[in-house]
Amino acid sequence: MKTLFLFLAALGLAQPLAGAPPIELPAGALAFLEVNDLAGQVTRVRQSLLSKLITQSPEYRQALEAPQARQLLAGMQFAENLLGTNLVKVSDAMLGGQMVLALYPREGRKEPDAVLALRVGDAAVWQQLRGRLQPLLVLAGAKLKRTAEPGGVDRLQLEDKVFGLLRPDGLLVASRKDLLDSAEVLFAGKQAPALSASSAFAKFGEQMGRRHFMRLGVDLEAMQKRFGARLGVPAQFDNGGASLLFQALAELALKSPYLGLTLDLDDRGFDFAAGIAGGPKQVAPEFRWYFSDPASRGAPPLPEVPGLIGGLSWYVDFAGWYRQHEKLLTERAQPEFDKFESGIKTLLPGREFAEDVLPALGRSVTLVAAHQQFKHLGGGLPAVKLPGFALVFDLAKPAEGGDLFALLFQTIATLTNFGAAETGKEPWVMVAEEFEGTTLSRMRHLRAPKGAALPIVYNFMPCGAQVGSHFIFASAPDLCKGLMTALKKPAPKSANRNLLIQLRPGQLATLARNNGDILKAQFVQKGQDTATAQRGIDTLLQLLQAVESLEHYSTVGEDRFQFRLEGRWK
Amino acid sequence: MTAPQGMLAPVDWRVRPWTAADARHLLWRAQFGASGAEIDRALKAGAAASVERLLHPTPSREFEETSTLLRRCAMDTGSALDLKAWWLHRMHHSSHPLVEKLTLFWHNHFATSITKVRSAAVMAAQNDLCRREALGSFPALLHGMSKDAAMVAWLDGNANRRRHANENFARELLELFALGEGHYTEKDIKEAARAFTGWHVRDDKFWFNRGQHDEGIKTLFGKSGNLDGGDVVNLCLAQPACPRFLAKKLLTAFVLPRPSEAAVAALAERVRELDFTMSRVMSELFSSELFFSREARGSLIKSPVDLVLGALRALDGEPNLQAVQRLLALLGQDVFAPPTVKGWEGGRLWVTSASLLQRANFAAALVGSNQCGTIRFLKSPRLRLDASSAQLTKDLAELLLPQPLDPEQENQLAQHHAATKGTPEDRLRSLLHVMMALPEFQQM
Repeated sequence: MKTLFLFLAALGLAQPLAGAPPIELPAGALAFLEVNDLAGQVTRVRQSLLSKLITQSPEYRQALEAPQARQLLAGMQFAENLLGTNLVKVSDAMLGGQMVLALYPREGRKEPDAVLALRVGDAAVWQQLRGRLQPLLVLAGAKLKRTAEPGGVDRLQLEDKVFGLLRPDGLLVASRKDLLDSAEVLFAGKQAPALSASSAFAKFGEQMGRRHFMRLGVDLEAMQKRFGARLGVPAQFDNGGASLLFQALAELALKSPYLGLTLDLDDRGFDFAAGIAGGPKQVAPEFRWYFSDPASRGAPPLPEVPGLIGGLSWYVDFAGWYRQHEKLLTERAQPEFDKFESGIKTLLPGREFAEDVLPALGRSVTLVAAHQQFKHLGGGLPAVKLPGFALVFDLAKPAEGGDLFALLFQTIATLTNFGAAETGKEPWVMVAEEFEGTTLSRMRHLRAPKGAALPIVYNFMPCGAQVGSHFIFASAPDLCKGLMTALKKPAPKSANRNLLIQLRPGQLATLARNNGDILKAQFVQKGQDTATAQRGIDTLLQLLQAVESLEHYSTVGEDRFQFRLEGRWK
Repeated sequence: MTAPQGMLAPVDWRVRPWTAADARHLLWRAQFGASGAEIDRALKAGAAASVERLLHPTPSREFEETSTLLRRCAMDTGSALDLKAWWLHRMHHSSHPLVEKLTLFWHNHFATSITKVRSAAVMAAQNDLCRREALGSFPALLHGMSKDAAMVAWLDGNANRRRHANENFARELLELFALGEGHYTEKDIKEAARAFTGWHVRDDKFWFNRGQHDEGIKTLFGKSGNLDGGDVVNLCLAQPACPRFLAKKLLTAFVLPRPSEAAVAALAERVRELDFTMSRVMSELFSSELFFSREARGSLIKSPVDLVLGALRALDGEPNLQAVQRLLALLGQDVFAPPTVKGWEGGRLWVTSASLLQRANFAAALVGSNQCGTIRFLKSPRLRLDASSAQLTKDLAELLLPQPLDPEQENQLAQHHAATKGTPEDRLRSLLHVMMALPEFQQM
């Protein structure tokens, strides 16, 4: 947190500038990073409500008092004295244009060569800066060779390690002379083999766009030539969870010419994307269980239930993955599957996981969290108010699947009663309730709890219901009912998402406010006094309220796979 | 009522001066460590006033408010970790630290673990009982414990039924809570267990299950009748072994690791004379010649709680309670979760090769990072960072160590400080680390 505040404090000292024309660097790079109009982006972020809340918070002011921040501010003051101008102007001049850093392989050496190109935002200030920096260049002594060329160009060489070019409109630095020469040609706008024209980066630009605030591209084919065809990705994973989440993606990435990341920022939010080229047909059949069919609806949107805080919706052909675990995972990981199947047999007596359960499973699962009203407690309220949670399973065979899940629900309910007996908690009995023409199975405490500070366990009241081809497991009846209503409505139009995670920070703020004393106690436990803890909570609530939404999703196309993370703030 | 005599007679402070070393000795034993300011205040107040202040301090509203917040958090979440944090906060911040020290003493005496009881509320209620009677009446505490829900759950009271008596509580009452081994027979245990039949728990509260109580005649220590649990407790308290058992435990915890038979007998006599009233017993003990004797100084090995909270208090620290409870568990004193019904044996067993390393690591973490909490000592106006290495070493040793260092050791530490590179604060941190890793710092 402190580091974030220091970073923002540093950014807070910068000011905006206009955009800049694109820079080209020589072809043959392993990877590049491109940043456009950094100063302008910083200004737009600074003007947002979120940024104002941060800079007005006591924690931010406290961070400015920290020794590191004082050192930073003193360093900035020193730099301003040296340059004879304020750093706001410097940042406008230097960061208002475009900056590209690219890494190139060199035969016989592990470390790559680098080229940095910067096109400034304000040529006049840049000229002034160059004048101020002249004495420093002299201080470098004989190691630094400097040659003045016509047109206001200075050519620099520091031994045989660094080669530079100071131009009226920017600068170029390289660790190899031939790279600098090629970069110089392109920088001047002349034709030469360019990085953006290479097949990998051309594909990157075509699929993910060429104009972003920040782009990072990696030429995976070049990396494979240099570091081996599999780039360290094992042919078999030794962890089931990792396999389920990443193995198919890693296989697709190995077929992709590029890995690209982009970031865009404005005063209302950010958009981060990561992508590779290739679709489900590019990977071997044993990895296709991960990807939704580009033509189908993929993971469903989160059901709109009252008080929705957030959730996750995931397309995954779990059965397809499970059936191939012996092929996908190492021998060492296999006993875990045997244990899992034995465990499932306890919950589903007489049923075999592979034979009876897998065929019933559909291809998506949804996890939802929402505020609960606790009406089912008949007036009692838990002291700690947790949201209700629910899992919605898509069923391939609704009739058989519904019975299996109902059996699972009943077994879990019985087991929890055994646990209640051990801990002296109130046992519950199973009851059926009719809701909008559908049966909802739920628990009811044998004796209704009383009081407004009930133990945390009263946040959980298991419920189960089947709506069409969906089975709902919920920890709270009102959430279960909300889902039953939502799932009966026609499914929204397809967005073809493989994975969707949404968070509504405003609702999270409500949750935090409802449990303010618990949060405050946690801060006190970490060594804060109550007043400081309260201030921390207030800041946290303000920040949460200033963020409108956070959403992460992945999309599958015939020729591309992309992750996106989007945040919107007020 | 007679006055204490012999080794328990009060020190005559007119004959010898009350020094900072005496004040530090008293405070480290009666609370969890002592800051420089607390030692100064006790030095100015004198011995009698300092003991009086320990017994009757001024309450702090701010502390009570924070404590209430942390307790409510523990009750609301039902989490053992939150419960531990609540008590550790009390130990460190309470305006009545002696009560917290004695609460820990009774927690160890009536060792009950949340790992079996599985209820933060019930454990907190037992802790309240220990606190309420910490300086109160031992008989009231013993009676209270026999009906305490956590104790009943811990020692399987609900399984103690009329036709099938469970002896767990009766056995521990005689062996660990009141008399000690050798002062009862197996027959006594069986008879006592019958008296406690039907002493059950329902809805987290004591419940006399009349239908399961054995109404027959029982005989214990020569007395026969339809005895119930309360009668058994009273009979135990009347045994000569009871004050002796308690006296030995008090001496071992607060004065000497191996008290002489004479010391035990003398204190047992005072315990009986004072009718087991703990405030008066502790007042006499903390004023006695024995307590301030040379052999008592630095004779106890610090428990993990004394070590960790003591160091934080000495260095004006604010503990990170979550980190401290993890550390205490690592060092072998997980509060609210003693290892067995016998509690923590303590003494030399606190220090093993593994725990010694952990103790040194704790010292490094405390002075080198904010991992266990923040320390204000280095910013204290009392501290003169520009003082000579020798002076700083002497000052720190007086604050932290129970006995003066020998000159050669002191000289080595001063040389270490002088040779350390970095800012004055860095050098002081290094000196503190070395001093807190010394074997002498493990004692109090």
